[in-house]
Amino acid sequence: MTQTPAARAFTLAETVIAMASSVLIIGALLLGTMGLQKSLHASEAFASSQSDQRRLIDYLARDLRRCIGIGVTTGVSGAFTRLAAETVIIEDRTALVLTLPGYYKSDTPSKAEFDEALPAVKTDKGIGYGSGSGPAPGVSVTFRKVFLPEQGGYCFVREEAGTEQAIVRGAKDLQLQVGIATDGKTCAVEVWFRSAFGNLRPVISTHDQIMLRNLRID
Amino acid sequence: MNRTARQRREHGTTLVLTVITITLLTLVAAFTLRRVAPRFRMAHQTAAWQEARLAAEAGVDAAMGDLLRNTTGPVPGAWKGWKQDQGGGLIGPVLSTTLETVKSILSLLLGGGGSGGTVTVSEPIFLDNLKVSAGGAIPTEVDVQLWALGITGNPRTRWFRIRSMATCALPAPGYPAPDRLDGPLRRFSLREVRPQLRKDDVGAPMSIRPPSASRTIEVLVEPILAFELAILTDRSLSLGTTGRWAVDSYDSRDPLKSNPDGTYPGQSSPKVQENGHIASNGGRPADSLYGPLISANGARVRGTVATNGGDDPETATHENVAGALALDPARVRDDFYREMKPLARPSTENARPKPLLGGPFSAGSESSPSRYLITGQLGAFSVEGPGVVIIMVDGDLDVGNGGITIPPDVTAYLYVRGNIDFHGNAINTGVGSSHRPGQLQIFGEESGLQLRTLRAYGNAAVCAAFYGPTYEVRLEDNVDWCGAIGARSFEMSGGGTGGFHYDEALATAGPPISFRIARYIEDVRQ
Repeated sequence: MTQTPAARAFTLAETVIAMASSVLIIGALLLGTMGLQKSLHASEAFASSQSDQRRLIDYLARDLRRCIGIGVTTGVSGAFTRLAAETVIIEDRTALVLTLPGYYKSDTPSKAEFDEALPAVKTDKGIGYGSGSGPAPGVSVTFRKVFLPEQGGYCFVREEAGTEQAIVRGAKDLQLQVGIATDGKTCAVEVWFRSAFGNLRPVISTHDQIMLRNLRID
Repeated sequence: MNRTARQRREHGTTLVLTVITITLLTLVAAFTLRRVAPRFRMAHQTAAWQEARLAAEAGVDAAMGDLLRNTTGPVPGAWKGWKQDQGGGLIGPVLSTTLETVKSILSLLLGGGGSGGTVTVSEPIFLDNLKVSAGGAIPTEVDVQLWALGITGNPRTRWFRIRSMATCALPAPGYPAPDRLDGPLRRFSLREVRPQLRKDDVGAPMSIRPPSASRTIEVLVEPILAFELAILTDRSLSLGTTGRWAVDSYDSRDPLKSNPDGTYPGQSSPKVQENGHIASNGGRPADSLYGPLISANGARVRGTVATNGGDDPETATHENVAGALALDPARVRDDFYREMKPLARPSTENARPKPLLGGPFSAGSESSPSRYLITGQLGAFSVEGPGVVIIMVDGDLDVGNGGITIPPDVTAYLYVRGNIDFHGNAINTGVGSSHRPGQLQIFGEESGLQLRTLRAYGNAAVCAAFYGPTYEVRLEDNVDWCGAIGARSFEMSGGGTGGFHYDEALATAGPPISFRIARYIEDVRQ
């Protein structure tokens, strides 16, 4: 028995069907992968924005929890106003200024005493941190939203003792609001952004309620 | 044969296609996982970082609880579970004298002076590797250190410094967060523990190894003394209903705020002060949140009036105080609560019995006061000085027709388990008395679940400080009281020519009944 040529190859119909099936399968795979990539990118962007929200709140909460004074500076002159039972949005020329209790021997990062605590000394109201010359003065920490060319856009920055540090990059669409409760004992922080995805571009908001542990002296 | 060979070739083609498809899908899955995994790790790291602060604060709370148990009352506690370095690298239980002893002679020599003056510091005691996480939660350990800080020689005014470092485990292996801006904030120990953190790892090394998150909270704690307020109650508080009865204050240490002999200058005197603060812990029922908790009954209070809730924030009026016509609305608050813990009596070892034939009690020195134990009832009495006397009464204190005379050179501490009745007599206000409430401090002890009473009526004139959380204080008619009262309840029926006058010198005279955080710090540079 010898084989006929027809038996060695696919028929035209077989080839067409196989090619059509392959195109369908590969096309579906390609579309699926692209969709997955798009979805992954969106999820990553969303997670990144949420991570920025969380970091901004955590920085603020850490400082608010231990602060002894809360205020804002507004306008070109940067006039300081004590923040009472009110709410402010930190943007443009409005900056949040917290006063932290003096605790470290030095605020210069390069010095060895930068991370050393001051000893306890007598104060008018009992005991505090300080030195022989008296209780340590408060340390100002400023949170503001500014355009930083070297970071390539708007950033939230935290400035302490003249050292400025970017804490959130790409913050153009990130909004920060800080509000003091009427009893003056808690502070509400809310950070939100408008999602870049979805037809409605929903507002994604995260907030935290922080108990002010120290009595305010401002 | 030929059909079988063709079938094999077709099977081979299918296998290749399947392998390619699976490889592609695996690559896609691996890529996705690689992109997503750091975000999951970051979420876990952030949670552990938050957990570390909560754990450090739990360490502070544990220390505050032990402070309350061990340092209020006259007998130092055992500091169960706490350790100290006993020298030579030996770690052992806390010695009873550790917090009493000043760490360095230098701090003693430099002590004194005003603001900026050095305080005395004790050797630290510590809680070692305290486990604060439940099973299944993130493994967490806390090391807590505690120092006693002295401003004056008076141990009652001693402050404390508490430093609590908590470490939470992170999932291994340690990877930095995908966003580098997180690094300076959270400062994880990914491969090894920073040297600054090791300073706070007292006692045995922590069992949690890197990767981990550590946070340190430090607080300065000040004592809450028994007589910081004019009137403090755990339940009801009702003020005088008639006459000129009012609450005000003076300062027996300052001639500008009292008579030259330190006595109350009289209601109309310009020397009278505005620090006669009154407060109640009592709360409202759950179904009626707003309503009166203090009955002011039209009486004037020259000080702050504070309750534990009861004031509707939506209205301008103060619902928490009834009969508030004579009160300054700006000094009415509703955010008060202060724990009232009964004080225990000092040791009765070597205590003497009641003097024979009603003779006076004899005072001892300040460092070694004389102690008396009265197994029955105690009536009117006097003390001869100079010095300090501690009188412990198992039964009632009922002065009958007499009074109590505490001379100007004597301080008397009374611990009473029964009822107290002053009738209409002079209590530390008669001839030869000090007229200083700080020199007659009366402590009502806890007697099981039984409630006790303190009573005075008629024209009783009392100059004393009283603290008894299980006592109901009932004053009637024209009783005039100079001093302070801390009790379960307070009721003034009538008023007439009497009044309640808080001596501001008492603010630092009483024993500690609790502690509060005066300064909260998070050590973020450690």
